[in-house]
Amino acid sequence: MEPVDDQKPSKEDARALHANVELAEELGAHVVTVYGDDLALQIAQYALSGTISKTVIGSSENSRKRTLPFLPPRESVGSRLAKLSCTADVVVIADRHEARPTSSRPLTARFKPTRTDFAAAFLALVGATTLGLLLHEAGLASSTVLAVYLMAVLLGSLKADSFFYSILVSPLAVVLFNYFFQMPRFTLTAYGLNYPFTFAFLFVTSMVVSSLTIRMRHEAQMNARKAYRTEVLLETEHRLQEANGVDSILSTTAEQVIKLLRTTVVIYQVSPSGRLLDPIPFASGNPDEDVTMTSLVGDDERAVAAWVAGNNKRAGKGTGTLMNTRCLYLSIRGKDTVVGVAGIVLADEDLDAFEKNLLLVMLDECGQAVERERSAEDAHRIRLKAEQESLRANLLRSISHDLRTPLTSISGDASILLSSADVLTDDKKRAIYTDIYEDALWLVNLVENLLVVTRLDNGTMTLKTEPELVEDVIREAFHHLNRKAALHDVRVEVDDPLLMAQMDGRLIMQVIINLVNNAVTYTPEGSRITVSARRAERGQQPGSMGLVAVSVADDGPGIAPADRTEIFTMFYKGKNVGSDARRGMGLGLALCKSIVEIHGGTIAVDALPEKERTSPDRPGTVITFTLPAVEYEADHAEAEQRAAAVAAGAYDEGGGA
Amino acid sequence: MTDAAEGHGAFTVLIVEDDNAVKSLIATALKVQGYRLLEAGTGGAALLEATTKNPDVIILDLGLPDADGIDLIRQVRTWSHTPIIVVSARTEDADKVAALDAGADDYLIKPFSVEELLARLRVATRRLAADSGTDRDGPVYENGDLRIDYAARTVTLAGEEVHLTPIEYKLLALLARNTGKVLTHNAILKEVWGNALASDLPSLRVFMATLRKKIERDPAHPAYLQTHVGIGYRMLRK
Repeated sequence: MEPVDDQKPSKEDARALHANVELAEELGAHVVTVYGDDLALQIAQYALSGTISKTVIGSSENSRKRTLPFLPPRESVGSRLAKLSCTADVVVIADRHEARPTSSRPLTARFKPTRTDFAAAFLALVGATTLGLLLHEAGLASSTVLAVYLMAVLLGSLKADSFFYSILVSPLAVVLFNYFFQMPRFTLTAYGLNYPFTFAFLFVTSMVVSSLTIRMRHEAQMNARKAYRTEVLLETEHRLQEANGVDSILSTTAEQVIKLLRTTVVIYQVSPSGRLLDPIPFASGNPDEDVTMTSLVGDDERAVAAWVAGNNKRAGKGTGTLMNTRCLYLSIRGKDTVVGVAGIVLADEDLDAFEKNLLLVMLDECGQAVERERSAEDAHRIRLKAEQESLRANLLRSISHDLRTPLTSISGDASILLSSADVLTDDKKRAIYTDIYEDALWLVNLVENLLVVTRLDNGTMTLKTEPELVEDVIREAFHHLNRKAALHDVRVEVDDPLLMAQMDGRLIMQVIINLVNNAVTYTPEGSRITVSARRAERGQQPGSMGLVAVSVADDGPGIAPADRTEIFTMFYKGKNVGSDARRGMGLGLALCKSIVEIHGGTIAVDALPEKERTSPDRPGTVITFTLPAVEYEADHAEAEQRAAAVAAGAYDEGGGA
Repeated sequence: MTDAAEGHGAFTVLIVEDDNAVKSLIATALKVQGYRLLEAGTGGAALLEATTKNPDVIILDLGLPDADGIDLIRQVRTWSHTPIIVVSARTEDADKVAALDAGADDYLIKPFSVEELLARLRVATRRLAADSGTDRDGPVYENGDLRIDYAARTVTLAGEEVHLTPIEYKLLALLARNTGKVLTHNAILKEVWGNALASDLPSLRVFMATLRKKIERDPAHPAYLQTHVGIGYRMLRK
């Protein structure tokens, strides 16, 4: 417990306290500091708020001593604590050592004279005398003047710092009153018993008021400190919660420490495997500081930091271990492990107790936040891995199913040809050859899709995009369509042949192939399938680039609204399957979505607008995806000029244009 | 069967492929069409065949176990202009672009259909016939209805003059001089623009699109200017 008036404990007590705290920390205790004067009350309050079940306290001889002969003995801290604690058990352990005489700390502190005391006394007395003289001239009685002195003394004691003021001002007031106002005036002779009593009353009243004001001031100071501490800790906690990632947590902590101490801080992160990572210095921006960054990250400083990380004890300047460093090194601890080391640049004075305490709490919070963050990261990684595993399992299942079907036909057909070729008609044979060929082509497309899926899945897909003419990409995609597409009315509608988008041409070709093949599969022969592209505006974001929207529309039976969000999930197969029931892998559309999304675009499905439907029971399907557009107007003109300049430099400019 | 009538018996094709099934497939397809065949299963054997037997066309698989296909192309290119068609199983474009930049003329992606293979071969052999027949850098280029007069810097299509900007002309001339060969974007940019800045790629696209509009009767189904998405462009011989 930190006493309010900052008086430093005696050297012996300080050392004992330090040793005890170190021992406690070594044994894994969590050390907390509270502020106040009343030991028992503070402990009881903390116990209440902190869900403490057992309080253990040592009893010291002193508390049992009587302060004054006729006063009842002061209640020991232990028994008082027991009375105040309602939720916790209190265990009192007798102190083995002999009682040491403590300095009568409370009393002497309050008698130290300060400059304010002298000033207050001086002003009070001067003011009272002046006023008194005035009143006397005005003809008022001397008793009034005495009241003036009383008032002045009391006013002065509001400002006084210690009881010394009372001791100083009371006799002086009496003397002055006697000298200036009491008959015979301007002499120091006193008549009667008045003066001793006046003096006594003046003294006592001013002492009482002084002590009240002193206590009030100390309490105000203590409250201010508590408030500041709470504010800093709350702010730290708030900022730590908002921080994203271990690095952010550590840098936020460093900033808060700098705010508190205004000195440069160096943070070392300790990896989960226990290795000390490179230091990150945080400059305080304090012009009074005399420090160079390089001196703080030298090898000897690092060695101390490493020692702290390994031994979980403080070291460096101001401690008893490895003292010849620029910084004080403290470990940042989570619940079980050291997650970092903080190096605080110390000027020559040590940190004051209040600040040191706040610092420790902050580092504590930091450590816990880092541990939490690491656990969250671990959990996330594990979850991601599990998702990937389940995706992979699904993929394998689906692959084996969907590969087996066409392979069965191929091998079956081939075996028929091998065994019964002579009894088959030419037409029949031709039909079988065609089936084998188509099955093989279908497998080719499937493998293409799978390759892309596995690359996307592994995260090894590095998207290499280039500006491509949309029409070119669509036309090349048409070379790889399912053969059955020839039985449908497939057309391209791109009104601007110069429409360009940023894309990986091969991937987007795969998207178009999948979408058109899908339309071919799920619509009856002869249906119209249109691939179109146009410019579209991006949403409400200002200054954003335009988009190119590519649509694959068919006038077939359409997709039920309920299914529209589902069709892009992997392995989903619609309920209304077309005539080729075995063709659905459910992979194609999900892959399209993935590809479009890594290009930064969106994909959506809708029905045909009313006027484009061929019949009311065929609402059709329109799948539209977007890609970032590439502006070309300006480029074109500039490029022409630039190239013309190059050409002019190298060749004669002849005709031909 | 106009191909047979063109006398394919004259052309020797070297197949460099380590997978026996694919090798025999290609061999069968080509033999039926009347090509003469040489086979090699490794890079070393390929070089040997190429230097000693001097084939007319080389079909090279980029996935050879003992040699880097790109290196092989460079080596062959040090002494010969034999058309090289690379076959690649990988669907990424980078290896094909590298092969083309190293000197290959065309590419095929596995799995390919025999039709595609034969079509590519036809393009390569037509180029050979054209090259051997006419002076490659002659003053006039003729390809179906397309006629380029290099000296006068004029282009006519079925007799009518076509107006091209300087850049479009340079592009067309470059593709014409390399008819039948796939030119990568980088190669074109370097030749026409002087360097290959990525920022020039959209311009290249736009120029090719406008060129196509001017030269092709049906831009939707180009007869001369073939686009290879992600790779480059090629002038086809009619």
